[in-house]
Amino acid sequence: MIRSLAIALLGGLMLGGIIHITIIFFLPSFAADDGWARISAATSDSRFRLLPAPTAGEARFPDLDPQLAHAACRFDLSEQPVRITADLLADFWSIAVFDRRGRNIFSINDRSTEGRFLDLIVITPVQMAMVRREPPDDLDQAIVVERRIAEGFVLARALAADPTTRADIENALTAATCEQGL
Amino acid sequence: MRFLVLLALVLAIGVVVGTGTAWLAVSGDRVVGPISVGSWTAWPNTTSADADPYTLAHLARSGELSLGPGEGVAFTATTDDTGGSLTSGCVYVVEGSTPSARLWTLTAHRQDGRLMENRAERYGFQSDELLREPDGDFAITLSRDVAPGNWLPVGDVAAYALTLRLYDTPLATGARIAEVEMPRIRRVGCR
Repeated sequence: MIRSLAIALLGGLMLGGIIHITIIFFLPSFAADDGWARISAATSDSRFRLLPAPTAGEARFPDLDPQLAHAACRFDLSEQPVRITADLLADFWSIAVFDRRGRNIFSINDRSTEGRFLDLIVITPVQMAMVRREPPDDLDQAIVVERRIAEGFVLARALAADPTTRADIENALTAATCEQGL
Repeated sequence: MRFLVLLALVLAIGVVVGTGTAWLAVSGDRVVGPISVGSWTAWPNTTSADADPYTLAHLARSGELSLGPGEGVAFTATTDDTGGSLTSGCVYVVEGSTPSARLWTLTAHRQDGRLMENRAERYGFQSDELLREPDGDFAITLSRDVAPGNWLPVGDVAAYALTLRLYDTPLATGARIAEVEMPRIRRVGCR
């Protein structure tokens, strides 16, 4: 009796391990409220939209810094690469590329771009191979992020701690472009 | 009959243990890769392209938009230096210096990320707007009532959290994060 109980316990723990691993691996596929879903609800394709900073009432994006302004844009590389240009006059700004699962796969800040202008291309290796055959003239000045991804989003953050300049910085963020094609 | 009972036991243990441990692993804080300095905890670079399955499951639930290595690193604290929860019933001073960064911000917020309402409408500090000591150190007072100097008001909540975000910092790209000096969170008094 004790022996069969011990076997049942052991079997139960092993089954528990399998269930644990299964849940952890499949949870991202069934997540209804992940970063992508929240970004999709707040933005549309090919345009930068402001994301609401956390307020006293709501935190749709709880880890955004209220001292910064944030804008995001979705993209889909399955047809064409995406090109992001921006002219941001903030004391600090940064751009991050996230994949469908919310991984931060590329990030850069204003100091590494040497100036206020940003020109960034997110492209798949296959598309890059095609572009290299006939590169457009202005390709060499752009930052090229070559990743094997399909859907994703770009998040731009800019310091807007001073309320008097916040509107200007938000305007500059929403004026940034995020267009399919080169 | 006895076999069926044992089988039911196996299934019950499996389901309880499996879902229970999975829930524990993905709710609350991330389990993989935390680095703590005093009361402060950060998860630098854990959401990069080679993120582990636990971090991915956490991202799927939290919808977090984490800082990348080119942006900075965010430290959070929910306790003072003695380990007590941060509560609006007490007054704290965040003092000392931060690791080198071009810019940093300190935000006080509820543990779910929402800000705390306060009449001063101030929710955080930015490094450039602080009053500092001659040696560059700073002290920020966290209290419900108005305080002289750098005052960060907190709302009427049982437990809140602080987030210190360091932007454009060498910490975000690399190692030795456990050796850095973070600001102390000292409890001054309670009422």
